[in-house]
Amino acid sequence: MSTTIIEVREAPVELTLRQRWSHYFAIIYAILAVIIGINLRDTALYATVPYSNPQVGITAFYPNHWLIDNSGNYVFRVRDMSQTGFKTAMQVNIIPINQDMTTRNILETLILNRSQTDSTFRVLSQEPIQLSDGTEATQMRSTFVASDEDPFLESIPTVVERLDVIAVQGGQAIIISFLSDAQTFESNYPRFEQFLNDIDF
Amino acid sequence: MSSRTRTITPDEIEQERYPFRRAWPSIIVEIAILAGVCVGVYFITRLLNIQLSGLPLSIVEAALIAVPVILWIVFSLMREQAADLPRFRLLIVMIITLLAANAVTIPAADALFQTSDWLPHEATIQRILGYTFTLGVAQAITQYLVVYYCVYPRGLRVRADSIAYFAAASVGYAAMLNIHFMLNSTPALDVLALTVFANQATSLAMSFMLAFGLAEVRFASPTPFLMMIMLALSALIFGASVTLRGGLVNGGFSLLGSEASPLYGFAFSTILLVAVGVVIAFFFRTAERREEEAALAQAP
Repeated sequence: MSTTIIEVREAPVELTLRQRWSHYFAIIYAILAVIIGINLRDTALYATVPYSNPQVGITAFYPNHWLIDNSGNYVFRVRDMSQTGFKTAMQVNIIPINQDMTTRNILETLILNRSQTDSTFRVLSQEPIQLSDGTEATQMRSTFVASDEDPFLESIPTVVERLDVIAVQGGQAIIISFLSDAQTFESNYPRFEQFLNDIDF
Repeated sequence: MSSRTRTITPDEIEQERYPFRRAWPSIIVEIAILAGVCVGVYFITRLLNIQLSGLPLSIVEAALIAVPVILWIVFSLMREQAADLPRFRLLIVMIITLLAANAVTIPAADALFQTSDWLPHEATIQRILGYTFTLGVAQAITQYLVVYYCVYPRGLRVRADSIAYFAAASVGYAAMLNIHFMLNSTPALDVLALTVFANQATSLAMSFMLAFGLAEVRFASPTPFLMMIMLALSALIFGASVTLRGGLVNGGFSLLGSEASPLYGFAFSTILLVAVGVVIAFFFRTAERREEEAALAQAP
């Protein structure tokens, strides 16, 4: 005995060519919009402002909306004031050196000074690098703990990661530093990379 | 002799019963009650200076976030069962949109666009464009794709189906936006109340645009670019809404001090929703009338 199965289905609704293209155009628009969105993001995130100091011979491009100040013991410093907690900063400093000093001497001096003034200072690594214009330099990664300057805020101290790039040129050492909350260091690092690539001294 | 009473007016023509649930009245009732609840919570919290914390606050916040979903279940989903020809996939559309928003759209948009890092610092026009091409498009395409792949074309039997399904998608997406806002921002109760309304109103206004586009594509023969244009306008509504509402709500800097004006934001969301709703309802009515006239013209 054989069993016959009768399957009852509704007739499929055929889409017209116009309806198909309507859907494709919607998808294409969404893809294009995402590309435009990413482009807008990059334009805004990586927008820079030129900085020039003919006295020390430095030209740099720092991130738009960052606060610049040159009143400290550095040539200039820029900080991202929109960040909560520790403000990500990039600073450029110039130290006159004598002919006999090497990068190693400068590094040791920096480590000695910082260790004496900050008990939380720790060196993580030192390695030679080459800047985008071919200049030989040395980079040093270190950490320290930053507390809020206002004791009444009762905030938890932040572990800060610091990257110093030291290049010796024309009888002076140029120290380009990047300071960021250790938790956001990697995400903020591309800004510093761009800053380092654009700086001219 | 016949006892039948004769009147000079013709006998009443028996109207054919409309077999589908009417989508617009449900939406109006839901949004009106939601507005009342949110404004009520805002004033009660402000006037009585209620400051909840811990578990009681979490319970009240969760209840507030559930209000739009509950209203939609009561006035749309449950009333659907009373219709002669109910729409079967409303709940599926709502849940899939909610899950897609949580699992794909919101995390992907946050990771890809990082809007909180750059958009708040931009000027008004850039912010409108920025939100349009990032979060706006992400939300619009999510709602569109869910409705398209869940119900299109068979689920759209009449134009009102499009409104009903996109309204379901908007409820799902707005619910997930509200949950993320509650969990990530830990807002005060009055702020959450008005944000819940704003998210729902914006999401609904966007869905009206998408609903009109898809209904036209299904029942008329518009240009193939129409759906794309409606998607773009829908995203633009999001961009304009977020930017302009933010500008109205946040207090400006002044020597006299500044204070946030959340009720301006509420008024803006309401006006936006009503304006978009009236325009789209007019377009729907015009399209339906055009269709009826075309059918009458073709009748022998």
